[in-house]
Amino acid sequence: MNAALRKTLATTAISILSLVSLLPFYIMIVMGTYKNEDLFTRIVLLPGNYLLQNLKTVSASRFDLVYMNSLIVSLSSTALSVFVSACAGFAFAKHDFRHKNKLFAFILLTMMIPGQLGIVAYVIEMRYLQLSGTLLPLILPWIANAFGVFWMTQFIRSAVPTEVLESAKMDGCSSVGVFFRIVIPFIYPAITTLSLLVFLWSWNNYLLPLIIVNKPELFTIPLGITSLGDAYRTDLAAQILGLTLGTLPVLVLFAIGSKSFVRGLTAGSVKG
Amino acid sequence: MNAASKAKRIAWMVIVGLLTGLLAACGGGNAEDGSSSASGQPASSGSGNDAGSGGDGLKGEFVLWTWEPEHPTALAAFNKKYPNIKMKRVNVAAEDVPKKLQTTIASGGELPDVIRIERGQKAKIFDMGILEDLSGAPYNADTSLLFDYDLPAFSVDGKLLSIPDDMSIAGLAYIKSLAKEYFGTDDPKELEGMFATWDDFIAKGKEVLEKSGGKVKMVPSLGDVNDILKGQRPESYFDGNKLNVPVLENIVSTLVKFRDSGIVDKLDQWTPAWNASFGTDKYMFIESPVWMPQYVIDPNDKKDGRWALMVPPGGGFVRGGSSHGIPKGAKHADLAWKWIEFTSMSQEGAEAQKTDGVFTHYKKAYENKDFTNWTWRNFGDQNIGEKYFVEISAATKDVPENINDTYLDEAMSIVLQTLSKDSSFGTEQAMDRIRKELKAKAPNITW
Repeated sequence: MNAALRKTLATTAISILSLVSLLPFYIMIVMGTYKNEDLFTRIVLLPGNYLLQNLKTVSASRFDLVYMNSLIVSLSSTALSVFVSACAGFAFAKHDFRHKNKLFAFILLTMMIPGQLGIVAYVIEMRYLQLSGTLLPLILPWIANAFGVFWMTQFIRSAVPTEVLESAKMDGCSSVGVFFRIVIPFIYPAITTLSLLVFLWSWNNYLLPLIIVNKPELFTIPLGITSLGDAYRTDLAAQILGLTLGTLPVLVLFAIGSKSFVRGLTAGSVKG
Repeated sequence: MNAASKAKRIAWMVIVGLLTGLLAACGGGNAEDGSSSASGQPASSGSGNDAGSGGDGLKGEFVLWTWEPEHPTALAAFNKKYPNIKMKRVNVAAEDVPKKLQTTIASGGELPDVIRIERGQKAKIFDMGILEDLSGAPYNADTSLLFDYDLPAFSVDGKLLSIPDDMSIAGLAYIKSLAKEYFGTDDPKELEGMFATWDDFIAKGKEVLEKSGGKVKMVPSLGDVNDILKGQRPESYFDGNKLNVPVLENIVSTLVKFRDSGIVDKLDQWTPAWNASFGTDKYMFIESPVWMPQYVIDPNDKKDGRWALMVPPGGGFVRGGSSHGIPKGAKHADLAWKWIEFTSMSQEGAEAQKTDGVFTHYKKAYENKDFTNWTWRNFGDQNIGEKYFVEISAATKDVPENINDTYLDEAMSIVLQTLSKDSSFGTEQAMDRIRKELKAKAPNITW
């Protein structure tokens, strides 16, 4: 009886918390179906009838192109960031080389410096490399991802048994082979977690595209959304619909990788 | 085993192929930033003030940073006159323009050929010292084409740094039925006579408050009152870094007087409640710049003919609005200037922009009664065009601002919040708070 009561209370509490967490998402979706001006008159809870017009406004701003740019940038950033971080993490966790600790400390140090400080130098660098008119400047910073290296190093250190690696080497497997055939399968949760994080950061990145992108055809979603409106009338409804559309890939990715994501976050929390 | 290894190899090849494809797609544009706008024309040759002289053989593309959607009629008219000049819009949110400009300058990047400057960001951008003097060669802007109050507002040290685009003079809009009920008339002229000063306005507001049992107030937000008083201030807030304390103190004490009279509600501007208030009968008056009927009152008030427009006590003022400036070193300054000149300083431009819902500052256009004739459904058959562009315009002044006004605006927004909600917060405390805020934000400001 007591246990049943506890279960009911827990279920109620979780339901309330879920409702509180999900309500903003629901309202975001519903707000995208209203006319901008109707949003101000009351709290909207039921879907409105202005979805098609808002979709028209969003699509008129070449949102498909903006969406594609964001996908290119975020997918490339994620793939490259995870690959380089995993390689570096493997090296730091399982190999010994000169100045390893100093190098690792240096990488950690770069995490302490706010990215905004280097942005002007980065823009100059991109201009010097003649990459300013492309999407590459939005992708390249994620390749040298200090957090990713740190994350992978810690994960590989705790999740990949050195004995297995040594056995593979004794069986004649090369270092590259060990990495792809042994290490990668061990670190799937870390890969999923880092992928989701980098994708999300890159997808939502506003400052760098704002500073570096000067061509409408290279706009990413955060820049594209701000363009829906004019000086006196910010079309919030269309912007919110844009946000809903912009959130979809992140939700889909999280739904696909949520199990591994949670496993990745909690890995190492209990010493086995 | 062999098959599995082969499959893995193929999988990796596919991944690498996809990645290469993605990266290749990244390099869609030209290598050099902005080089797509190159036209082969000599840079910034300038062509003087000859808006009416046809295409002039000018050819190429200029880059505009703006947050505004295209003004289609104006652009079409411009393209008809200058078929070989193309405009490339780069969307930059109004509040992001200074940040993007600063970084572009710091990194030595390529500046656009023309920037749209929102009034709130104007002082900051002017302060960067990056804009061309449009009254000098090669532009030689004919300043007599603009309104007299434009020159001090868009000049620094005698240099005209931008040309105003959309008209933003402001009057006072009111709900006719409420005016009739409480003042016995809804005629703008009679109300203008009734409210010669803001003290008259406050006194009448108290009567309304009493008669309505507190249900009807004069204005929804103290921010609205501040906009009006600030817009009507007789002198600039700053002379360089020196704050004009008497001017500021006078405005703050008037704000306190408004607050204490109880005729102003506590709504925050631009909130859902503030917007929704235009469809109600709770507030009789609201500041009304030229863009207000179309963009704020109309969407929030479904009923026709409820409003009327009058000259405010103390005359018209300027609220909002944008201008266009050309950065020094712009590659296609000559093309950009042609566009500014056409859209903001010519009759054809004024007419085309009017079709797009924009009234420009081209003074001559307003001499034509047909041009000033403008009605809006919320204002019934009142010719608000004539009210704005003839009567209010004649009673409007504007003063120069500098970067310190930006800091003062930030300080005032904090003070307004407290003033509005805390009735014990008086002029002295407000001035103290402003002093502290300014000291933290801009220590070089002197009192």
